[in-house]
Amino acid sequence: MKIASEKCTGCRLCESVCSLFHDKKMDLTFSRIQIDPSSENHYRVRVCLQCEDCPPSEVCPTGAFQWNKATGGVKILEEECNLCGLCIPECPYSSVFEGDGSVLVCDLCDDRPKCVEVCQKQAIQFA
Amino acid sequence: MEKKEIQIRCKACSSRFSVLPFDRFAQCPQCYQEWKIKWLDSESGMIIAPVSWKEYQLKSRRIVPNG
Amino acid sequence: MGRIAYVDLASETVRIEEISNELRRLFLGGRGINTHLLYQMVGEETDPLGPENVLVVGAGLLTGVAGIANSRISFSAKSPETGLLGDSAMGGFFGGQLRYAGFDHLVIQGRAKKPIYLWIHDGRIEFKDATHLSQLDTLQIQERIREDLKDPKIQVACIGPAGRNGVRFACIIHGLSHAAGRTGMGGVMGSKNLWAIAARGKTALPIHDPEKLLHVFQRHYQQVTRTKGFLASSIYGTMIRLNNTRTQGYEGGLNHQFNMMEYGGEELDAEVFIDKFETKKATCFGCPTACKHMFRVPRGIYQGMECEGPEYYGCGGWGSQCGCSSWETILEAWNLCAKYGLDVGSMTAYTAWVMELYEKGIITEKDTDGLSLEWGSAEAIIGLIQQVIEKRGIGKLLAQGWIEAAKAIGRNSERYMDHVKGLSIECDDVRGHRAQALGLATATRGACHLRSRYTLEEFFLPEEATKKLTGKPIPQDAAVYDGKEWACYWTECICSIADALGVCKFMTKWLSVGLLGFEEFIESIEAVTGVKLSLEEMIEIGERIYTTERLFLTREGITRKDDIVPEKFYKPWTHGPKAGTRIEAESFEKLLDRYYELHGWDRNGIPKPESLKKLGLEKEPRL
Repeated sequence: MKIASEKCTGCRLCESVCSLFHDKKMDLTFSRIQIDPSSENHYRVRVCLQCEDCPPSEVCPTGAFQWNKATGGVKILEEECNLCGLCIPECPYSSVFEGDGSVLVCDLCDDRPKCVEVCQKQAIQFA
Repeated sequence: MEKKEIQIRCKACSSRFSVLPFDRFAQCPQCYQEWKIKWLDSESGMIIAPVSWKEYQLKSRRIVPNG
Repeated sequence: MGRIAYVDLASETVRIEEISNELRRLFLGGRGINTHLLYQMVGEETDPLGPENVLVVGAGLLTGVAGIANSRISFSAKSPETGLLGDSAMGGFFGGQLRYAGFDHLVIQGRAKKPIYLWIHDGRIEFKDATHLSQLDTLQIQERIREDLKDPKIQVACIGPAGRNGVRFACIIHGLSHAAGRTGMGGVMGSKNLWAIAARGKTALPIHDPEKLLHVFQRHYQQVTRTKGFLASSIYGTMIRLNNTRTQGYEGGLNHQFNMMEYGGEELDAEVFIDKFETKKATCFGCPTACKHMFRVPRGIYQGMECEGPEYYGCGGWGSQCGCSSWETILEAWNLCAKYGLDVGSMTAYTAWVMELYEKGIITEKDTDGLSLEWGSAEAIIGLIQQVIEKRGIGKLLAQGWIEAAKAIGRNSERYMDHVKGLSIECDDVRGHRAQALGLATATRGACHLRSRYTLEEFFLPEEATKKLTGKPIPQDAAVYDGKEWACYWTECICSIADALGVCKFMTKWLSVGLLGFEEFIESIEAVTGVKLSLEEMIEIGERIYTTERLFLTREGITRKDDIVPEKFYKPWTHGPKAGTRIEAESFEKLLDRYYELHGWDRNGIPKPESLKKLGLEKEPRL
């Protein structure tokens, strides 16, 4: 995933589609992509960038935080995750999030990320 | 490769006429008004102004307002 | 589904009510439910600036929901500017946060004992002291509230110095320049000592079928972004209208004395603005268009000034209407109105009005604290805004609204204001567009371009296209009267529905044929609520909302005599490619008759009992 925060207009279509697709509800708080306002109409996009060197996956004590070879991204196996939260501060892009009884990170929608399809300004792109 | 002609509508007389993509100027064959065209992409040509605002405004004045 | 909070500002108490399915089924939400509540709670004797006026805040049924442009929230009250129905809406991000915080509608009553703001979060409404905000402008207020409450994602709708100082046409601002602009809703907030509403929520909105909603959303996204005209909207925003009114010869010039300007005017092209001043585009919640402009003034006396805007209303309003061809002046005036919380619609109309009064010698420098009101004068344009805020010079009168100002000035000054039902008309001149003229004359909040104006009349659509779009063919030529009552009626329906759902009209068929229409609204409503409405049911809801607004007006004594276009529309256009066009009185009266018949109103414009019964409105409080 490539991000260009300066292009982001804050429309939140990405957060909307992410929460609908993953959690089957309309709740932007637990989107795996977060749009943070830095000032009026300027935003910072936070989403997993599939770094080759991934500190959160290294500190995970149970192995729940894994690379998914099929997608090229990461994934948290819910049944293995013990909610210790050690991974969250390790991400240099602050893109691992605390959910509601879970830990959230972008898993590329297991295939093609849906947020990219609704980003008109191409602030997020996926090769 | 031949350029596909695009239809635009004259802002003065409302008749449609053809222009080629990325033509910057065009004249309406019906009323002869000359326009500046802006292209947003190869199929979206928009009239944005007459070639001369002053001429357009003075020429189109028909009736002198009373007092 | 959803909640209404009845907020009493004097006792600082809140009573919460669930919105019944029946109420949703009748009025949907947003402007629909607002109108229904307001009609019940105020009357002819209600003083718009008194504590008994009620400010109803209403997010749409779809506001904050995943979808295209579900951003809108309406503010309704009795208008301090016109004395009639006040209603305006804004986009941005405030509406969604209010719903995530647990409330769809707020009914705000009474007057707070001292300045306060509401802090709405986690299903609760808190009353917070606002006295420390007393010297701040609208942007500073929002930043300060976020700082005080320690959350950068709080969204705020607030008034500025204009609302605080009791200016009758003050507006409500959110963000840099999202505004619930017309009819003085900021004046109502000010009269209640309610300086801001802050909202932040983390609650999921109930969705009946999330998977269906996802598919509907993805399909609508593809549909709108591939529509012809989407690209133009995303580049020019409302300046498309600036382009159209100037090239097609229907802009208002020098307080509507002319319909085209003769000052040269290359400078005021949208291209010049985009080239010299625009820095970035901005958007509202859920909208891929990003029609809003961010700008920065690079040099001159306003060097470094940055804001979001301007919209067409300011460009034409301070441009051709005031004879000004300086972008810098327009941008500074726009910026001041955003920071002060002043309605651009009324401020530009009042500016052009007093400039003509000055030209005709009806007012002089003695009335304006020494300010010369020459056409095009930057000093006058900026100076008048300051005088209104400070209530000095002519601003002392203008702050009371133009109706009171005209009474105080006397000397037939009211004849120079072009208005319908007390609300000034927009900066364009639609006498040559018959459906738009009808819409102007009959719009339920006074002259309004967002309720009844059939925008598509400007696009010369063939009859097959309008038949497909509306169910009946509408003549291609804007100057034809036949069939235009249907165009106006259809527009009223789609606007009422869009406003009740909270969908921005810029993404609907009101603006362009390929965008969202009734069919798409039906899909979204079904996915969110589980209820599948038919097209007839949608039209009926639109009709019900509009008729309730008409009943509000009828109760205030509005009849056919007030459904009129400005006097000068009966005279011919003097300029432009369609010079000579005028409204023919006989044709207009017949058009009005056909329009009343469509609505089921009598020849005097009063809804007939059988029409009210059909809509279930016969039990509404009436005369």
